Amino acid sequence: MTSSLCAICREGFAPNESVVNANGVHWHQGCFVCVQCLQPFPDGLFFEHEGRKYCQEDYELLFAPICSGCGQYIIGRIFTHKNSKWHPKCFTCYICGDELNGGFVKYQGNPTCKPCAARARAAADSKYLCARCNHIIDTEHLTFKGEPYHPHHFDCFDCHRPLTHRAKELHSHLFCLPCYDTKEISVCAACKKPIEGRAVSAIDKKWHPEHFVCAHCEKPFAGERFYENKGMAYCEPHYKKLFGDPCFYCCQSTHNAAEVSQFGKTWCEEHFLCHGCDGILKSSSVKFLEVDLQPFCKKCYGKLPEEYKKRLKKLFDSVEKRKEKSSKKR
Amino acid sequence: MSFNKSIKKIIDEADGEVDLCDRAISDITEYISPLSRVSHLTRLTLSHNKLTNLPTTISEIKGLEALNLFNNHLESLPLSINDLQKLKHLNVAVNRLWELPRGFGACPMLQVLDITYNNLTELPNNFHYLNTLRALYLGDNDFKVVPQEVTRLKNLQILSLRDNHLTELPPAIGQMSKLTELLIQNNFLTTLPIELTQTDLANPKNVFRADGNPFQDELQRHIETGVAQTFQFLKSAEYAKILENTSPVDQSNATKDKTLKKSRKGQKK
Repeated sequence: MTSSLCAICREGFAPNESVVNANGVHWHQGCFVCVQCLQPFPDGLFFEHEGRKYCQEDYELLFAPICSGCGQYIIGRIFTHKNSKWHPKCFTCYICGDELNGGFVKYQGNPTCKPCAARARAAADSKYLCARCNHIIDTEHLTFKGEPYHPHHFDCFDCHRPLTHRAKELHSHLFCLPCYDTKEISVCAACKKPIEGRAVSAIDKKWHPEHFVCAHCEKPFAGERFYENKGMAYCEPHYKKLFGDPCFYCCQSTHNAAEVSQFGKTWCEEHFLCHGCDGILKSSSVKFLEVDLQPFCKKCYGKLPEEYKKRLKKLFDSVEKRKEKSSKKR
Repeated sequence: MSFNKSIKKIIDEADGEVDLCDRAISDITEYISPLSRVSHLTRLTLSHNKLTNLPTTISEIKGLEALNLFNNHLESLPLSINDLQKLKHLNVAVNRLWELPRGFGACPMLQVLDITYNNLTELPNNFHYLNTLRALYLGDNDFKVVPQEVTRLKNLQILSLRDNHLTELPPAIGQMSKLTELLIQNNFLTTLPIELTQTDLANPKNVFRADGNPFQDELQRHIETGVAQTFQFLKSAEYAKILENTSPVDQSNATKDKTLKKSRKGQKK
């Protein structure tokens, strides 16, 4: 060691002097400093340029490239693109902002990741990008679970024939139209979408339960009775408000054209039937009696068991009595 | 039973409705298959016949909306009635039914059910599933209490319980908010529950009939003057006192002599 000289001042070393040794080259402690600021290297960290050593601050100031992304000096890996230098982490996709590790393409002169560029091009042409192969879909696309696909990536779940864009999705599978038609899927009359869960059948149509609502107030019936008029369903209060009392038999509007009002109820003329024999009572030619506020023709009354007739007689009497009383009051 | 040609002819020529009223039919088993071929058969009338039972195959007449079995000799109904998915009107009044089949209550569209003048004392447990029911006629039966199943029918508008052996009405009747007709004549009621005033029966458009009950005197006086007055009275402090001091009629006394009831014939028990 005594034979070597300091690399800076070319003088020898005293026997007990501490020596800086790097790769067989030696320095006096006081000579191992930045050639620019003559200060020791903070934490012993130095940078070499043409055989001369610099502290980080001076090295960056004099020689380090500046990142075009963040404006900071770049130490370590440098990314160069179009005469600009970048930190790898600052060289990002122009569209999505992700690091461009996996290579890039230029989209309108800007570095862009491949998926973004393809999507942007597809959007510019108003075309979809296949969610499986990431290529533009030039023909009609197939929508599956909300994403666009090339139809040729899929086969029919049932018959395994290749699908076209007209394939239908049901219970997370895709079907060709002929196979789909065998499934008897109901379509909601309100939203026109297939009903996969519970369906409500009403007025000759199928509905999502939450879409079967009163045509006036749009509240779902949720199991409550509904009343129909001209193919529309209404809740009871709104039906009565709009169309008057519905027919007691068919629950539909009598349209006031030919209706019978008896016992506080309303019937379509053709539905005003004897409760016993279903005979039509409409004209006054057929005599009828009232039992439990329902009409019975005299013929039916005649055919009843004698004992029941007696009971009914009592009932009629009490109704008569009540009428008398109320007429007296008036 | 011989296959009646004139009946066959009626069925074969029918469209939509078949009327087989008063034709002395005692069994319709053989007619079911021709009936099931009638196009759009929605109404079948079998009133005033001599049917003692209904074949389970009745459910093959799939589109049936109204089935009228008024005044026959039926002692039971098949459970397959449940399979008549479009049935809206079922009339089994004036028969000899002792009970409804266990499990009865799955007709998804049943709106009007008439079981007047039979021998029912209770209803099957599933009965309250008939939530499309708007009219239920249980008059002239042998109910001693109003079945819970009835007060759970929230869409019921019409309820007849006349001519039974009821000694009290359940407070739950107040929850039947859509009631427009309540017929409770000729029972053994001495009081009415205060909860009854929660219904809309005092509305002059609606009907409340309660004659022929041994009501407590003061209550009876109010009932005679009208429903509105009755309901006012039910809410009064005076009535609360009366309720404390009145006990219902003893159940054992609360049976009428129904030995003459025609439907008692063919009694199994």
